[in-house]
Amino acid sequence: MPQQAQALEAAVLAARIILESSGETYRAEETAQRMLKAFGYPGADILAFPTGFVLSVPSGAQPADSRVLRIRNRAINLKMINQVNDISRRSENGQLDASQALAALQALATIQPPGVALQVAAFSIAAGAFALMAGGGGLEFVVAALCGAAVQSMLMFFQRRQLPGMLAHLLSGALVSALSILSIRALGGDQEPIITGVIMPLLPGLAMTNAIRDTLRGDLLSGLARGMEALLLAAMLAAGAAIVLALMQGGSA
Amino acid sequence: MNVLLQCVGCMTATVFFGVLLRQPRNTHLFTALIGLNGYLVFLLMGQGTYAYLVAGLLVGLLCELTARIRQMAATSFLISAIIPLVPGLGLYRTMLYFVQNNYDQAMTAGADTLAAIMALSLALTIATAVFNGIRIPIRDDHPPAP
Repeated sequence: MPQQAQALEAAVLAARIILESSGETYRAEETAQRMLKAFGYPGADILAFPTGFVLSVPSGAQPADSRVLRIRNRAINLKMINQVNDISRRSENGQLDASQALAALQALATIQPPGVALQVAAFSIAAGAFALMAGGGGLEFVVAALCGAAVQSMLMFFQRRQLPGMLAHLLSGALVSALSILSIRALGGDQEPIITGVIMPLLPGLAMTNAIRDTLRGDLLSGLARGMEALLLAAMLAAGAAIVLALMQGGSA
Repeated sequence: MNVLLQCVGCMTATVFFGVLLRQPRNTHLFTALIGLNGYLVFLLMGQGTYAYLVAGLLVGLLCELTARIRQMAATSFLISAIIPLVPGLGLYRTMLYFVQNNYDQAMTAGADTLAAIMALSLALTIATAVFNGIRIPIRDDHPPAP
C-alpha cells in the first residue's frame, strides 16, 4: 500500500474507533488531524459528528483524497479511546510510522469487548452500591443488585441484536420498576433506594458530559446532538419506570 | 455509621460504574478517590444547589488535572467520578410524585433535580473550559488558500 493510503487508512480507523467508542467528536477530529500531520499531510481536514465523519487529504495537484464513513454502532468504551489516544501520541512523537500505526489500530479494532458476565456483574454491584448511597441497607443492596443484573442482561441483548437504544432504555425503566415492586411485595424493603440504585448507572452521563465538551470546543452540532440524546434517554428511562409504577400502584402508593 | 456506609457505597459504585464504562484499569483508584472527595464535599456543604456546584467543580478540576498528568482522555475520569453526585434520587422522586398525581411536590422535586443537573453541568463546563484554555492548539498549519 502506498504511504499516503496507509496514512489515510490509519487516520480513518482512529477516528472510527473513537466515535464508535463514544468519544468526543473533537477528539476524533484532532486525532485524525494530528496523525496525518505526523505522517506528512498537514493540510488534512475532517468534519466529524457522533454519527459519521468526512475526511479529506489534499494530494498535490491531484484532487483531494477523501473518505466518508457512517458510524452505525456506538458503545461506551473508554479504554479504547485511551488506546487510540496513545497510538496517536506515539505517531506524533515519531515512534510509529504510518504502517505501524495502521497495524496497531487494526489490532485494536479486532479486540473483542469484555465478556457479558463481567458487565452484568459490574452493573449489579454498582446498582447495589448506589442503593446504599440512596439510604438503603443490606436487603436493598441485594435486591438492587439482582434487578441490576436483569436490566444489564436485557440491555446487552438489545445491543447485540442492534435494537434501538431508546427502546432499550424505555424497557429497562419499566423492568426496574416491575422487578423492584414485585420483590418488595415478596421480601419487603424500601422501594426508593432500589429503583434509584438501578436507575443511576442507566443515566446518560457520558452523552451529557460529551455534549458539554463538544459544545465548548465549538462543535455546536455535535453538542446539540449529544444533548438531545442524553435528554431523550433520560426521558425514556423515566417514562418506562413511571408507567409501570402507575400501573402497579394505581397512583396511590 | 450511616455516612461511613454511604462512603463505602460511593467508592464501590464509582469503581464498578467505571468497569461498566470499560475504563482503563489504572484509572479506577483515581476515580474512586475523586468521587469520594466530591461526595464528601457535597455532604459537608449541606446537599443544596451550591453544594452541587462546588463539589462538581472540585471533581471536574481534579479529573482534568489527573488526565493531564497521566496523559489520558479526561472523559475516562470524569464520568465515573461525577456519578455519585448525579441526583438519581431526585429524578426518582419527581417521577413518583407525578405518577401519584402529587403535582406540587413533583414540581418542587423536579425543579430541585433540574437545578442540581444544571449546577453539575455548569461546574463541568467551567472545569473543562479552564483546562481547555491552557492546551496547545494544533490548527495553525492550514495551507494558505490558493
